[in-house]
Amino acid sequence: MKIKIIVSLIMAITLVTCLSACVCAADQYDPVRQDSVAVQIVKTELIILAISCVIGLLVILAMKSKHAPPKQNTTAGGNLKGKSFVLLSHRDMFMYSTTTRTPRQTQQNSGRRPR
Amino acid sequence: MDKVLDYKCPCCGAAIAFDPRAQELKCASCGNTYSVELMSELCDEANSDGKTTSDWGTYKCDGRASGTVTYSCRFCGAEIECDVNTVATECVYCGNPIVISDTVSGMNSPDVILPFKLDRESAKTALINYYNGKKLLPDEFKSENNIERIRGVYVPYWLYNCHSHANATYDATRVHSWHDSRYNYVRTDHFLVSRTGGADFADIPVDASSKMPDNYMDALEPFDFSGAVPFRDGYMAGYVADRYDVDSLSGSSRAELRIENTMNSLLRDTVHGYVSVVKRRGSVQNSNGTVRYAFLPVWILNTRYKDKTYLFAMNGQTGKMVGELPVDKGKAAKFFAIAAAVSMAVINVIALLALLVR
Repeated sequence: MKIKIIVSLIMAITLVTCLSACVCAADQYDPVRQDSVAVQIVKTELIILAISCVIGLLVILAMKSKHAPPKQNTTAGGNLKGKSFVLLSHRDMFMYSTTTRTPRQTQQNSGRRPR
Repeated sequence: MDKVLDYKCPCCGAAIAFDPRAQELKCASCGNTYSVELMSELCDEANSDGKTTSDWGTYKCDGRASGTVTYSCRFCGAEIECDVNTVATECVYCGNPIVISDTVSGMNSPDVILPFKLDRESAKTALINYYNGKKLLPDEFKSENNIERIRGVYVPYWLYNCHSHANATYDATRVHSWHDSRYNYVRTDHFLVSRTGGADFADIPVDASSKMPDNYMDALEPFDFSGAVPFRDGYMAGYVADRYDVDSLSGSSRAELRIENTMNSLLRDTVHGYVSVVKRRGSVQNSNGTVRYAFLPVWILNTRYKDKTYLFAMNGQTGKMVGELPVDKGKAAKFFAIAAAVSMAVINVIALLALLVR
């Protein structure tokens, strides 16, 4: 019960903050992004909501993995006799090389608008 | 069949020929040159079959039996019908422990046995401890004493020993980058990397019972084989045991897969200093293989929840517990909401602080 109240409270605070920010900035206009500030806040909140849902899902998957059936063993590292592994031969032979060339971005071709 | 050797350029795939002037193989298409040694290595590698070969020998009592047999309990006289592979069981009427010595005598006798070190009560406690920290476990599953059956089982295992010899070749690259006033340059050097190594493996356990789930039996490892003793009937009293019904040859494929993966990993760990390493081919040869027949101690616990049986197994020597647990969907939804709400609040605070700093 306590947890439900805490969750509802956090959600309510977030929602109220978001709405009040939108109301305060309703008539403001951002000339750089060519969008109203209120729309920007809503967009940001939607992105934050999506990220939070992904985090929540990851947390649940991590918790659920503790309940999964055991996995089949595919290695025998624990059955190696002491330090019995010996590298008998090793060769690193150069074959060929490939080179790529791309033009450097300069102020003329960087695509930025002059201020 | 005679081997056909194909000499193709590793860079562009065109046919290449030996250049007498350079004393190297030269590609007419891309102009790259390759040493004879390198091309021989590439051809050898392309013609190897890349398979695992093993020589395990034949275990002395390979063979399978099926059907049922009837015994009479010496204590209460009741007739007990059991599988022909049963080694130890108990009378269903009086609970008297019965060891059927025919299935573990002479040719069928296990080489070694790991006696139980943990008792029934330890298994119960271990199961309760196993529930700890599992936040999505239904409360009823935790609180109700729903353990249906606890059995101490001597599970038949094959223990594989061998020397393994492996080789592998890799395509590896190193990258260098630089620039001048007009261009950025990236040069990628391609290498053929080959490694050969050997290692000894001791007592790779593979369960020899088709009744036991392989994933559970594998997950119970490791067993400490220093505690193994020569087999005696007396260790079986009060426990349940079946003779093997998967022969050593069938079980060897699982041991081979594990050896192959381990050898591949050991060889791969010796390749350093490259940006990318991709395995081309490899092979593993196992020699001097021997197999031992062993009985290893496992506590099997069955619990029932909402008409579904859940199986747990505990290593009777070390106490390691494995099993599958149910998930409470309501709890999962609750924890999702908490995690999402907390992260949303934290991200909002960070965003707000970033805005204030700006």
